[in-house]
Amino acid sequence: MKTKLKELRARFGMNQTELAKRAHISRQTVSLIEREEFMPSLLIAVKIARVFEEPIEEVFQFDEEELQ
Amino acid sequence: MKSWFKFGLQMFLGGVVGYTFMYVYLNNETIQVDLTKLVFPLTLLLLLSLLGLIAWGFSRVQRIRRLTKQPLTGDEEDEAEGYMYQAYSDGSLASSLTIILSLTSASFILLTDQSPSFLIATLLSLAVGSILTYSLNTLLPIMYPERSLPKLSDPDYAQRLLDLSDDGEKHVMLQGLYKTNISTTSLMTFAIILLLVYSIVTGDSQLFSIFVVTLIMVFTNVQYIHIIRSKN
Repeated sequence: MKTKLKELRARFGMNQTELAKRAHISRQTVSLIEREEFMPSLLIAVKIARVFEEPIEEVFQFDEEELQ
Repeated sequence: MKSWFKFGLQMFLGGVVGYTFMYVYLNNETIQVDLTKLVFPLTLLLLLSLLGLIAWGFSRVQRIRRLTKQPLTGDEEDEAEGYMYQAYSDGSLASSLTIILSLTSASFILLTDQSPSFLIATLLSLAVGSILTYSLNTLLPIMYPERSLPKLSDPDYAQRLLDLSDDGEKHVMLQGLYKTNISTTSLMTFAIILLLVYSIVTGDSQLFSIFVVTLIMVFTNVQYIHIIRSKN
């Protein structure tokens, strides 16, 4: 799974702590997702996507192979 | 490289234990181990370790307090959050080790008939270790003011804290606990073998300790299976 989280944060001028507060998740989780060490649950993915007002598939992208 | 080192260490320890066991068994003799000369230096070492742990733990508490007072923004704020998390983890380790080592020291001092002042020092460090744990817990609402953390007086504090953790935090905990569980099982098994070899080599039966370690292993394994089995 690839994520545009870092890119979106930069575009919105947001640090990890701020995003975590707005999405009501921990900064540790944001950091893990950005480093692609953790695949978020659907709930967390929705919370993050809502902060950026983007659809989930814009923030998190899967390779075709992963979806087979 | 790491796995080769681990494998090598296991082979070495296995060799040492096996050789000692077979040597004693074949020669049918007992080795006298005189620990009395080591009692005083060991007590001092334990007390100094406790002092070091307490100093380290409170230095972490101070570091967290300093970091929470800094009005940071941007990447610096993220960096400070990371440092706070690490300082909190270090502080938790220091407090746990202080409590464990204090109990071990108290037992050691009582069983080897040493000066009561050592025992008082150990009991004091146990109290300070508990204060350190309490101080760390009181820091959590300061570190994360936006989270509705349970009160310290809550009888279900640990469970509520776990419930409040999000999936990312639980993922980190699971990774840590999984590895810890594997190493605990291996170390406990090794402890039983070591106690058995010690009993045979010295003629000083450690059967009670073997029973206690076995009971702990049985309990933890049954508890784990009981928890995962019900989630079918």
